[in-house]
Amino acid sequence: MPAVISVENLTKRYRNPHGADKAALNGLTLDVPAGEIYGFLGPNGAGKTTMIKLLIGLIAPTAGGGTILGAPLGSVDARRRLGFLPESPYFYEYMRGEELLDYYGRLFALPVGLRRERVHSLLKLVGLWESRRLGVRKYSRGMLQRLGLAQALINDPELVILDEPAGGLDPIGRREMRDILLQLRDRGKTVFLSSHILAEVETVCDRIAILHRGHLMAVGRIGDLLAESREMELTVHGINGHLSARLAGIPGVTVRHGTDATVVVLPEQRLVYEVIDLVRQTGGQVVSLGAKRERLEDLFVKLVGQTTEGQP
Amino acid sequence: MIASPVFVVARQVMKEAGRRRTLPVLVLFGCAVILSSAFLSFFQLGVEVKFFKDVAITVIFLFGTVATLILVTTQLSGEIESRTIYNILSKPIRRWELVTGKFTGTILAIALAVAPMVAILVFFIYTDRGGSMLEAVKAAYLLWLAFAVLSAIALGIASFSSSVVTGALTVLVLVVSYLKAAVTTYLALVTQSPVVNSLGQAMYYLLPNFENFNTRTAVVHDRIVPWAYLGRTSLYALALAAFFLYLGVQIFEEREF
Repeated sequence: MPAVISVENLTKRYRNPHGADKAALNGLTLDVPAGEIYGFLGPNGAGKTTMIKLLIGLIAPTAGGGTILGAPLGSVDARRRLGFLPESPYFYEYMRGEELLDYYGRLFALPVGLRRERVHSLLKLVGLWESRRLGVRKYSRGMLQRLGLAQALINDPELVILDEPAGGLDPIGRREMRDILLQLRDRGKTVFLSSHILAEVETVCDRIAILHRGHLMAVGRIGDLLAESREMELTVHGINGHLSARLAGIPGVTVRHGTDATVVVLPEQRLVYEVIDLVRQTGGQVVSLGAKRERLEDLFVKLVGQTTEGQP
Repeated sequence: MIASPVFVVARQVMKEAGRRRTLPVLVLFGCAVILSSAFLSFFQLGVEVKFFKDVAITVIFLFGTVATLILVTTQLSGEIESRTIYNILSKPIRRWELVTGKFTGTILAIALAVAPMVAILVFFIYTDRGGSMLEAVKAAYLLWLAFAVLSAIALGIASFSSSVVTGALTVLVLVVSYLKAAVTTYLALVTQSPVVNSLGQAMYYLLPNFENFNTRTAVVHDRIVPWAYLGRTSLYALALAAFFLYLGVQIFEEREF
């Protein structure tokens, strides 16, 4: 499958007021395949926004380069075929929502009929149809985010770059945003999604890249990165202090007490029957049993934590 | 109809000028001052025509200058400060198109803003005050050229600075441009340094001569401004605006956001 975004050795360095050089992005090489939702993750200051700015052409790379849809990064040809939602989008406050989308449509040189049709359908898609004639200054944070998504889609782009799209949205808004992203993928669009909300990324993304301090820490399909481990996880009801102490005494077993249930994590499958017997003997009840699967959050903390340790 | 990004941006600037209250209020106030001077001068027999034309052209110059400064300083720098620049530059528009669009929109908006004041001036000349309507229009046109040059200077400065700095530096350039002859003469008197004097000379030739755009005295005293002068001054304004816009575009092209 051809890469929609392809960057090689992409580097961006900034010089601080004291003359010291700081790499915001360090030799990043990445391919984003077509037709997927690609999650771009990293803690604050990892270089995510720098990467997006380089893709759009808001800043120039110090070294390296790449292409978007076959055109050079930041070129007009590339920008003609992509949509971009910045983090916390800002708009002309003196304009109305509908008018603003029409303005962006004009910048894409969309013919008047198509522009009107696109503006109307997008306003309906993002749930702003009723507020289309309201001044943007009267829009709430969530409405601005929806308007931001609408303007990112005004040219029916092949690639949509979203920087923290769920910011400012309530749970219903987030769900709607997720549905829109999935619809875009179903229509063959590529979505490049930078987000802090790991659960969101885990739900919608096909592939992810984790960035930390300008370095790529991991890249791949979520299913491959979050490999199932050999650990087993039992959820148990009615566990008492005596049993808890006995379980904790088995090497490698961890016990986590919750409000309703206790989760017992076993290092190997062979311990399953032994532990189940113990639970039954003490009057407990096994509610569920399964292979423990790493969550994206675990992987993220593991990768980012590793490099944070030992650094000043 | 599909328009070039330059005209799309220009249209947006004009829309913004109309929506923000400052410009319409300035226009109304300017018109009110000119109308007041028309009625006041009616009672001063003998001097009324000269007085009225003098006041009207001065008001057009002052209000036009203020309107230009207010409108243009909020364009490029305002776009950067309010972060709306991210949405614009992610669209298929080149940076020079954005700067040129801002310039085009500003000078068209200023033309529309001073048009009612010029219309009042021409109307009173036509009705019963005497003098040449054409000369009044020529004077207004030359003032508009001055506003265009001022806009280009402000956009050039805005390409690397904030709104406040743009406003302050543009006013400084305007004032120094008016006083440049005095400044260079003064420098020659107080210092023997060839470097300082060379800098003074460079400033003299680099900064626009805004007096070229002022034909108020000619209009007041019913003298004719030759068409050749109008043509030369138009070329002078074009060259200055192109120079400052070119500088602004070059800086803006390299700027990172």
